[in-house]
This record gives sequence, C-alpha cells and structure tokens, in this order.
Amino acid sequence: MDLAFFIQLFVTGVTTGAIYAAVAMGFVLVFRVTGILNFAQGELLMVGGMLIISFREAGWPLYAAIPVTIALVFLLGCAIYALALGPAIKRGTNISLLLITLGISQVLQGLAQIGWGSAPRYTGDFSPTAHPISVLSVSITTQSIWILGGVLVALGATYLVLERTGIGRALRASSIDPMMARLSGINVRMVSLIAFGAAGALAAVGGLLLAPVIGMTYATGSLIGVKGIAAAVIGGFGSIPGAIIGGIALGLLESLASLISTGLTTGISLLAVVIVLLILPNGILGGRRVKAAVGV
Amino acid sequence: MPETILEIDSIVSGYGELEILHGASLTVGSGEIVALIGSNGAGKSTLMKTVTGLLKMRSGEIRLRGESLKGASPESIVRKGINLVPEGRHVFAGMKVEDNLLVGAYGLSKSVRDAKLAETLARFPLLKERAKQDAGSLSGGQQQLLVVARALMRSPSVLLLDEPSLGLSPIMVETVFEVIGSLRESGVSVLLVEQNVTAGLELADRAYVIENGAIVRTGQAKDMLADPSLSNSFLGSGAE
Amino acid sequence: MKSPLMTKRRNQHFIWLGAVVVVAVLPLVFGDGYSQTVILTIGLYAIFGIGLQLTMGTGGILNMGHAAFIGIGAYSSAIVTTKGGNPWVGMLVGIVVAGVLAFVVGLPILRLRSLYLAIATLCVALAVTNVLGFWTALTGGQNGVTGIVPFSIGDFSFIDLPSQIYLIWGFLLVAVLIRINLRYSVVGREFEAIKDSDLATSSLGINHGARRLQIFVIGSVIGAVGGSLYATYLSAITPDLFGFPFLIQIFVLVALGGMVSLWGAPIGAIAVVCLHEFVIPVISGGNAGPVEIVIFGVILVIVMIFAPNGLTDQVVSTTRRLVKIARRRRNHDEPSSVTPASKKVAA
Ligand SMILES: Nc1ncnc2c1ncn2[C@@H]1O[C@H](COP(=O)(O)OP(=O)(O)OP(=O)(O)O)[C@@H](O)[C@H]1O
Ligand SMILES: [Mg+2]
Repeated sequence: MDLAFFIQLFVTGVTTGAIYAAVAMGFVLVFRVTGILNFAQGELLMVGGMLIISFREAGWPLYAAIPVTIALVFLLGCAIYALALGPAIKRGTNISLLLITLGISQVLQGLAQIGWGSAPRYTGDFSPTAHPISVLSVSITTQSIWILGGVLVALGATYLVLERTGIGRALRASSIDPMMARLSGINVRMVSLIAFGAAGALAAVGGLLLAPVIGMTYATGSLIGVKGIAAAVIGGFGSIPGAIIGGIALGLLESLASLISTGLTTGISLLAVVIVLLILPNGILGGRRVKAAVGV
Repeated sequence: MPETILEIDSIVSGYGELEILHGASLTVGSGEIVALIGSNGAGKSTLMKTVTGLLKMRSGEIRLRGESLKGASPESIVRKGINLVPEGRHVFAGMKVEDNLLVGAYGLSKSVRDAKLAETLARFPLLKERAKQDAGSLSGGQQQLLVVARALMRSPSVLLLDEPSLGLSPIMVETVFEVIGSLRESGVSVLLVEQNVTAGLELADRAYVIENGAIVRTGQAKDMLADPSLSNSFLGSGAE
Repeated sequence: MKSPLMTKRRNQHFIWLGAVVVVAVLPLVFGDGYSQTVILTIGLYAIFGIGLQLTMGTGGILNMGHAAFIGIGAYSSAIVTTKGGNPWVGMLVGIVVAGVLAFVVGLPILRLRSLYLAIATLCVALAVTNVLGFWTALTGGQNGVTGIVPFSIGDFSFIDLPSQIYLIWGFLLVAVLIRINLRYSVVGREFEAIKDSDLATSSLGINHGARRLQIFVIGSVIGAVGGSLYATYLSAITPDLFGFPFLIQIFVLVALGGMVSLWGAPIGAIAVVCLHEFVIPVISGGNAGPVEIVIFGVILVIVMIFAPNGLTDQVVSTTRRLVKIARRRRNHDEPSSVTPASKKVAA
C-alpha cells in the first residue's frame, strides 16, 4: 500500500465526512437553540436529494434547481417547528418532543415512498466528465469536488451569518442564555423557527450534493441521520466547529474501516458514539441541559 | 414630584401555585432613581420579573406611560422601553464583548445599532479596550458593567437593576454606582434593588420597602436613611 | 384497616383477574381464525407495550432499543428451538441475553441525561439489527429463521390458536401483575417523585440511577419474553420485523395508551392492532406500507403535541379535573340553594 492509496482513502473519507458535517451542524444548531434533538434531520437531507433529482429530471438547470431545493427544505424545516414542535414545546417533556421528531421522520419517509416510489433514484454528476480527474495517481471525481466545495460554502455561509448578522447573534445569544435573550428583545420562538429552517437548508445542501453519488431512496435519510448524530456526539454536541470535526473524523474512520469490510462502516459509527458516550458521559453536552435540570 | 412613567398597581404573581407578591404597588417617576429594599426572599426579584413579563401576573396592572403591559411578552416589553438587568451576571459567555452589546440592540436598524455601539464603547472605556474579547473572560465587575451597558444599548426609558453590585470589589461597586448615578442626567428612570442598602439609598431619590410580597413603607430616600428603625432591620447587615 | 394504597393494589389485581376471565371466554365466542389472530396479536402487543411503558413512563427513559430487545427474545427462541432445544429454554436464553445486555448497556448509559440515553439506546438498536441481519451463520441473515418450535407442557403443545391465546394472555397477566406491584411498591412511588428530573444521580442519591437501571432491565426482559412468544407464534421471523416501523408501532401504542396508566398497554394494543388490521387497509387500498407509516407518524406527532404523557393519561387527568371542578361547583351551589336570597347578593 503506497502513499497515493492512503491519499485516496483520505479524499474519500473527507468527502463523506463533509456530508456528515453538514447534517451534524444542523443537529447542533437546532439543539443549541431549542434543546431538541431533531430525529427528522436525516429525512430533510433525503427530501433535498429527492427534490434535486426531480428538478433535474424536469430539465431545470443547476443554478435554478439548487437554490430552489435549498429554499424548499428551509421552509420544510420551518414548518416542522411551526406546526409541530413550536406548539408542543411548552408542555412537552424530553420524551414527548423526541417522539414528535421521530414521528415527523416517519411521516416524511412514508410520504417520500408514496410520492417517489421505493426504487433508488439517480441523477447525473453536476459536472460530468468521462474520467475522474487524476492528480498524482489519486483520482477525484468532479462530484467529490462539488461536495467538498458545496459543503465548504454552506458552512462558511452559516459561519458568516452566525458571526456577522443580527439574527446570527440572536441565535447564539438564545443558545447561551434564553432568558437573557428574551430580556434583550429577542423573540426566541422566531429564532427557533429560523434554527430549524437553517438546519433544513444545511441538510438540503448535503442531500443535493450526495444525490448523484448514491441511489436516493426514502430510507437514505435515516441512516445518514444516525451518522450525523454520531458526528455531532463525537464533536461534542454543543459546538459547531465540533460538529464539523466530528463529521470529518467519522468520514475518515469509515473510510479506514472499509479496508477491512464494507459492512463494517455503520458499526464503526455506532462504536465511536458508544466510546465517546462512555468516556465523556456528561461532559460533551455543555452547560445548557445542566442548567435546565437545575431549574435556572 | 416628576411625572409618573412606570406604574405598578396591586400586582399579584408567583411561581406555579405559589403566590409571592400579594398586591404590591409602586411608581417610578421620569428620570427618578427609586430603590426597592427588603430582606432576602421578600419578593424583590419576583417583582422585577413580573414587570418584565418573565412571570405572568395574576391580577393587577402595570402601566408604562399609561399604557397597560398586561399579557405582553418579555421581548415586546423590552422593545417598549423597560429593560431588566437580572440577578447574577448574565453576559453571553462565548460571544465577544462587542457582540454582547449588539445583542442589546437587536432589532434596531444597522445604522442606529452601530451609532449606539460607538457611543456605548466611548462611554465605557473599560469595555472598549476589550471589545473583541470573549465576554466570559472578563472579570466579574467588568461583566456586570457589560450587562448594564448592554441594557442601555436600546436607550430604555426605565431600567430595572437587580442587585447590580453583588459580589463586586469596592472599586467596581463605585464604578457601577457612578454609572447608575449618571443615568439620572440621561433621563433614564431606574428601579434599583440593592443589598447594600445605605449605598442604594444614598443614590436614590425615593425608596420602597417590601416585606412578604407587599410594600410596607415608602418615602424619600433621605428620610429613610435617617430612620433608625429601618437601619436596625436592614442597614446593619447591608452596610457591612 | 389496610392502607388505601394496599387496597388499591388489591383492587387492581381483582380487576385484572376479571379481565382475564373475559379473555378466556373470548376464543370460545369468536370461533373463527381471523378474530382469534386479532385477539392473540392484541395480547402480544400489550406485552410489548408494558415493557416500553415501564422504561419510558416509569423510568423516564426514551428507549429507542425496545424493538431490538423484542428481537433478541424472538431470535433466542428461534435459534435455540431450530437447533433442537426446548422452547422454554429458548425463552430463558432470551431473558438472560436481553437482561444481561440491558444491564451492561444500562450501566453507563443510565448515568447519561435523557437525550444521550435516546442516542445510546438507538445505537444499541441499530447494532442489534445489524447483527441479526449480517451474522448469517447464526441468524440466517436477511432470510431469517423458519421452523420455530411452539411451546409445550408435557405432551400438550400450544399449536392451535385458542391455546396460544391462553398462553400469551397468561404471560400478559404476569407482566401486568409485575407492573402493578412495581407501581404500588416503594420503588414505584419513588419513581413518581423522580421521573421528571433529568439527572440520573441527584440529591436523592445514587440509587436513582440504580432504580432506572432496574426498570430498564425489567422492561427489556418483558419485551424479550414478548418477542419469544411472538417468534413461536409466527414460527418464522426475519430481522426487518424488528426494525423502525415496528418500534414506531409500539411508540404509538404507548402514546395512545398513556405512559403510566395501568390499562394503557392493553388499550393502546387494541388501538394499534385495530388500526393496523381494519382502518389502514381501508384507507390505503393496497399500498399499506408507506400509508401505515405516515398514519402512525401523524398519530404519534399529534398525540405527543396535545397529550405529552399519552392519550389515556390525558383523558384520565382531564376527567379528574372536570369532576373536581364539578364537585366544587356543586358544593358551592348547595348553600345558595338553601338560601336563594344570598345567591342574588353574590351575583
Ligand atoms: N423559580 C422559583 N420557583 C419557586 N419559588 C421561587 C422561585 N424564585 C423565587 N422563589 C421564591 O419566591 C420568594 C421570593 O423570591 P425573590 O427572588 O423574589 O426574593 P428576593 O427579594 O429577590 O430575595 P434576594 O434578596 O435573596 O434576592 C422566595 O421565597 C423564593 O423562595
Ligand atoms: Mg433577588
């Protein structure tokens, strides 16, 4: 096994990891602002993938299909909060809120199966080439470049919004101290709605970039959702850079595991989560929940 | 007496089944500093939380310039001009000092926000030096100053201060009190809860004494300072 | 005189014995195979539900692994009996494997906060379905196991439907008795006090975590017993029987039946089985799979929005409140009916 081989593995791992990072970041964003673990996050990715496939089948160019897909899934994320979690959050318990997101994930899966069928759906690469690009005997598909570039842009945009805009500051403030955020004039419900929408948009980016690489089915989302949770847990559920690092780490880990057996990749995610949970049972979660439990 | 700006009229509120305030009433005049004093657990913080809408009141009325605030959410009350600096130092740790201040101006237009930021930083040189620093890394006193400065970002008409000097070093206490004193000139009305009763009364124009969720006394701050019966119950411990 | 709690516990025992007598007559009344299948399935689902109710309602644990524990019970029976073992041994193996796994998994995770518990149990669930699906040598992989041997006592084998119904509802009765006793025991009352708090170890002491672990193990074992009965009833099983849609069905069961109500599991089981057997086929007109998933998902969402502790519990508590209000109003009215004049004054 030479160096090129390992670079190849690395590239594959980082590409997969980029998708996980986008999903994980959505989990973290929603969790930090609302304290909810949104099990439907993976399904939002699936819907994003399905939508772009449909738009491209309808002959839309990418510059139209991509923004419309992202916008629609953003709205879907908002709708999930506005219709289900928003009304439930006041009386809800940890268990009831989780079950709601679980129910939503099922509804989305079922509807996708009814609307788009059970067979995997495919779409072509965004910039098709006859052969993968080869650099120093490491071959990279153009879609991998799309994935890396696309996720980078999405994460960069999210970072800029969070750091530089009023709504971004409101999101961060609400996740740090919801009471003080309200006392600063921030409508925390509105902020939660936007967090759900943004998480949807991030998932959509992952889904539309992934669509040409795999056969999308209604069930694709649930597995990637679990990977996203795993990445978020590995990175420390509270932090956004952590989610990105967790995603990449998980992608690399799976890429290594595939050397041994391709069936092992899911097992590796699960194992990684369990190990992290065992070593840092409370530490990763950050202070927010602790506060909530103490009743501050 | 100046024109009344905040009027709290027989409010009843509490936590869940528990009733803490049993019909407390007080007023704050325009540009006035009013002290609210009372022993631990008397309901001072509860009153502050009720005024800002964090707690629902069960009966009574709260009016800002004659307009009822009944049923309004905390965020809308803040936007109407009542700002609370709660107990403890609620900075947004993990965000820059500058961003903390900008959160205080959330919802205002960008030009107003930036002007207000420049003005506030000029007024608090201590914060200006640390504008790009993480708010969580400030000292306790600096954090308290930041919270007060943040509350002023929206140019409130009434500022509620809940034990702003708690746990600060003497120098920082002085700085915070100076800031509060200077609010009078800028026309901000203040309702001040202060565990250091003497200092609070020296700063204030008028004062109320709250006991078991009801106002039991009111008067000019000067008169209260001179009153020996009061100093026995509060001043002894507070002055330490 | 006995304490009210003791009386209540005894009353519950009697009510349930009565219910069992009714069930015993049912197969005689509904002679046809289909009705009997439905009755049998309700019993099975009620057992699954009681296990989940225990962990979720009593233990406050969002257990995403319940379907997996049922799967463990089912596969233990399947593997043991197809290798020539006794079905009872198969059930025992299921109990031991599920109990040990729940204990081992539970040891660390029960120190975790609720959200992490959900994630950890989800991982366990996925790991179990992975093993069931891919350890082909032991589990038959995706093809599953066929030829599972039914239970028998001496020469009598529980093969025909009425005897299987008696067997399953017999086990249901045992599960219910365990639950009633847990509910009215010291442990149960302790749980009423702590289940809402998020911290596994609190001021109440480290026992808090130990109690949750205990509940988690008992709930999972009940699930495994149900799984064992399920497998011997079906006589052939595949790993996807114990996947997500199945887990959601049990969640819906508990959502409809209520998280704590003693009657919750059977009520929820009746609702879920009726939905599955009668309502959804009519609505879906053929394409049952995804339609059922959507309907169960929607039910779960709506119930959890409006009744976070489950529908039955909500109905019970609302009724109680209404009765209380009505009683208060009547008490209020009584003096005024004596002196009509005072009413006028009051008005
Ligand atoms: N979140 C809460 N839930 C229930 N009761 C509370 C809560 N917060 C305060 N109380 C109770 O309300 C009463 C008044 O509390 P409050 O905080 O208003 O007192 P305070 O006058 O501000 O006292 P201190 O000087 O100690 O700050 C106390 O008896 C307290 O125990
Ligand atoms: Mg206080």
